[in-house]
Amino acid sequence: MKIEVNTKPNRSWRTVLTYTALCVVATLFALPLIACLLTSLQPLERVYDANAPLLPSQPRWTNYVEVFRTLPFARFMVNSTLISTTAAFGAVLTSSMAGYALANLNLPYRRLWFTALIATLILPSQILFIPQFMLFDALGWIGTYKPLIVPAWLGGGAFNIFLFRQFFKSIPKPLAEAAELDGASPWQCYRYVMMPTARPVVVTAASLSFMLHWRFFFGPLMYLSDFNTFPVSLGLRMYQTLAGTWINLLMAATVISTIPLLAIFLMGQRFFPDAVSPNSDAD
Amino acid sequence: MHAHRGSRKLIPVLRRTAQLILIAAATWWLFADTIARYRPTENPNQIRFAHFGSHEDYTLWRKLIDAFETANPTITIKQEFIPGWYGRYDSKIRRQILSKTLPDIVLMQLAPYRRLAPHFQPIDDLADAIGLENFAPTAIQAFQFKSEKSKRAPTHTTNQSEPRPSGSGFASKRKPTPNKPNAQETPHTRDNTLHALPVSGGNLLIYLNLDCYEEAVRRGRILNPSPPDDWTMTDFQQLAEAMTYDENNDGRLDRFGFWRPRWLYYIPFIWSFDARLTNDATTTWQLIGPNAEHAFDFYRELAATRRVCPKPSDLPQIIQDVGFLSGKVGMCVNGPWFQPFLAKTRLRDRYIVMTIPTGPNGIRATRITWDGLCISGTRGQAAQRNARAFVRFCLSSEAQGIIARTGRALPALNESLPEFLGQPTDDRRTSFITALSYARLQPDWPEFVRVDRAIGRHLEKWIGEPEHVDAHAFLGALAEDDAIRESFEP
Amino acid sequence: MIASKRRPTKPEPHSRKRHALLFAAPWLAGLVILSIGPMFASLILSFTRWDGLSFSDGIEWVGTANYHELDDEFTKSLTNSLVYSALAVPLGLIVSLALALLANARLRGIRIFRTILMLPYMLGGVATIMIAGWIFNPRFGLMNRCMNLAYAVLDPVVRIVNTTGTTDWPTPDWLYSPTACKPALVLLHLWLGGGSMLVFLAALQRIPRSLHEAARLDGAGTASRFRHVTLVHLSPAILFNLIVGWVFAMQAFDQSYLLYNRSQRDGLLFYMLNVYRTAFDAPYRMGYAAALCWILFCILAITAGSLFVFTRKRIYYVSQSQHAPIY
Repeated sequence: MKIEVNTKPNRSWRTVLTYTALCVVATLFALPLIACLLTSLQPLERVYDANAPLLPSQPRWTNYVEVFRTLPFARFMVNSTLISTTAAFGAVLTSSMAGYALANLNLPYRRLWFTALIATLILPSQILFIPQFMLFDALGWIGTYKPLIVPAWLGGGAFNIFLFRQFFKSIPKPLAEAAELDGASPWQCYRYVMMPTARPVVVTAASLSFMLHWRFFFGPLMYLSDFNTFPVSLGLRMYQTLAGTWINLLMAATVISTIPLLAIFLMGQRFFPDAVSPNSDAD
Repeated sequence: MHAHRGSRKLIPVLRRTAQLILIAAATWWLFADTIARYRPTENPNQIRFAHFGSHEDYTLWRKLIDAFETANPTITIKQEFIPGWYGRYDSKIRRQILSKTLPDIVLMQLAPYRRLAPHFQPIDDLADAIGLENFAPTAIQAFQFKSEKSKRAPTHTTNQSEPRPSGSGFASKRKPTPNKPNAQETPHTRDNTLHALPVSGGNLLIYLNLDCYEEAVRRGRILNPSPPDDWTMTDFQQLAEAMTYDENNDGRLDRFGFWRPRWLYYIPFIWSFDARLTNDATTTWQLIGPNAEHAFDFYRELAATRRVCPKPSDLPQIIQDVGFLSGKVGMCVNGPWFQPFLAKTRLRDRYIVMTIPTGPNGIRATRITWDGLCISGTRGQAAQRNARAFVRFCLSSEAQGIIARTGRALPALNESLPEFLGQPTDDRRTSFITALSYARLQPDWPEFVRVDRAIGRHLEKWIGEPEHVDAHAFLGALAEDDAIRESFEP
Repeated sequence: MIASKRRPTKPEPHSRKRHALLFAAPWLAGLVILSIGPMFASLILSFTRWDGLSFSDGIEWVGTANYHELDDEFTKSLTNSLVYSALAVPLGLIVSLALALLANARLRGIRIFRTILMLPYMLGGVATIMIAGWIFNPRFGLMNRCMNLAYAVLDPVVRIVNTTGTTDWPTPDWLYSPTACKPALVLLHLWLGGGSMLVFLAALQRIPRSLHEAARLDGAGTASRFRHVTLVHLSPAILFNLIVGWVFAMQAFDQSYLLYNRSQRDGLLFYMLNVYRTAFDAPYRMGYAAALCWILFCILAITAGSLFVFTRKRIYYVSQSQHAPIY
């Protein structure tokens, strides 16, 4: 019963402790990012000088200009934006539809499909790679963005479907049923009842898909051959291997390449916790 | 309902029309390429060209393509560039062979070429039109698909007769290319014809950082105030040792004499020690015996015993180029392509290019490799004709001049070699042309990658072991490796 | 399935079924065209010897040979992946749970902390791997610079005990050493633990506060409340993170591909890297690579499945009604 008595002082003491712990952990997590930022502002000689201080004496902003001059990096950024936006849009649309069908409609063989969904979650993607390449080639899609975008429009990833399904299942039944009794078609129900409710999942799925495609490395590597169609992920790799190890330029390019991700994350993050809900009935 | 009464009927119609347009557009976007893929009549004036390399290579080829398109306004070349040298380009080409979407023209390195040559068109007639005698030494032999015996013979004899230092011109070194061998002589021949024409090449020499050299002189570690013109293995080793020291006296070495080359870049040394990897026909493994042991003892001595080469943990994540650039390593083995990189740094005028040191038997050798253009022939006659026109253009004096002037690679035509020297004549570039006289073709065998990896693995292990076996046991174990046993006759 | 029985009679079951198919059509089409079809194709491929060049003469049926003629690289890469997963997954769970507990505190400015903790995970991919490659540089990277700094600070303290102080304390070579390269990747995994932290955080926020209050009134201490309330409610999230973490760790590829170097002596030769090399490097053993994929798939399916089954009784799923008040 001591807990009850000591509530007040205990509380403030704990607050201080929690803050301290949080600060330590946050510093640890942020340090590598800060180091990346600092390296991107150093000249190459100082980067490889173990005695030079981490803090650049004179920030070398020209590194950021150099990034765009060494390789067509602006082009890479535009390409990545194009691929990721289109893919994210398709992923949200089709995965929410699939999730709705799994959660709320009488999809025939629902259990079977759900098992298949979980199976594709753990399927090593490399298993599928060779046959998929042959398929895309038969369609004449090699060298275009279609092998990167179209799969997103066909289900948009097992994880997104899973998210939507879990969320739709957790929506109180009366809400959907009331709409249906009013004569709304499943489409209307999906469009006007479910999707507005599912805003956290929509934002989350869109952000995750965007980020996933932004970071995707091996698909572009195998499907794209024209240098001018390269996305940022391939571009980064080029700084690592081709122009010597210009580690300062690599870090500057890394910083630039993460800006869109950062923006999306900051805008979408308040929705994330509401979207991930493994607590609901897992069938 | 706020909608206007009049528009009530119109809205569904508009909506339906919009939907239809959208579906039609999507279908077109999806399958336009599919139709293009199977369309029987393809535009023969649009030629696809695949190449690898760095961004500099990309700009160089861009320049060549622009020049070609200006000269041939009816033909357009689509440049398909895969960054990098190994692996990804190779597997991409294989995928394209599989799917019969190979670009019309493909740039190939020697090692993958040997396996893939049958997939490309024979182009002997193009070579004959240019004249075999006009190609730089070893350039044509590299792509002639025949036994190693007749390929190696001329270069090998030259080597023994010419352990000669720099200075002599390249023009006198021109030797007639041997005629194409006949099939009976060459049991390992799969094809007698050229499936590629060399466009550019590179040999290996030693780069020396003058700042490092002069610092070693200042510290009294070397007596000779300027580097020698010609040298032996012992001279080389002494210089490497002189440039290795602990700069700030913290008990840890931070300046090193030599960047330890991987085995492929060490081949010049192996050859100079008069050892050989295989027999001429590349059928038996011959990296054994006293000469080979001598060569590898020397390697181990540099890397471990005398410690003139940095361990990876001494200069981590520093690749050779940066190690040399930053002056942490005084010497490295590299090709002509290193020069444009250095030209962009503050080391621009502070390095020289040295020959490979002569071995104990007075032999000096280096490794040369060529990149060649292949024609895939997956499309019709007209397209192939255009592709050949481009290959022919790449071997014109104009195109070869462009390649040579970059200084990144040696041109394949003798007449363009002077262009490589630059204006005013650059001594460092001259060294590479002089080295053509004692350069031997990079060895290749069918399982090149597998054997390459096996040698690398054995070597790293051997260098890293504190209690090591001697070179004799090392080479014995290497010869017993599965990769080598299965690739060569016993 | 109980739910569907409980449901009142549907107005038009047939229309619902048709609509369901319509809604699921893109996904089902994708499933068949992009997953199931290629899966069977690669299964067939795994019984052949094929260099990926031509169908007519290059492909050869070899039966199950690919499955029992496994080479040394297979054993090496499987061991590497197992060791990595065995380190990364449990540590990742513990760290991300601890982070979630911290980030769950109801304090002013907690959002900022959550953002920072999530940031590395969200940036992810090639970018974070490149950063890690630089941080773990033994000589110039942040990691060893910090360690050297810490040694320098500790030096006077240690000198009281021994004479040499911290001068001969080693710093690991991280990505340039055969032994320290996997710990480096484990640290990278922990740094990217924001994803599982988010799952834990969401689960934590669903625990009704009243439960903690009730337990406290019953006299339960902090530890006891953590065990009997928090952990029990977190059990589905733990299982989820465990399975996902395990599957992803075993399939880890990008980091080993991008950070591979020769001084690791194959320490980062992960399973999928070996598969990739088998298939796409000479001598291009496509069939064998497909077989390797299938072996991994079986391992993952069996382990994940048995994890799911064996923990079934111990997982506490909150029923719909219990968390309904949150909405």
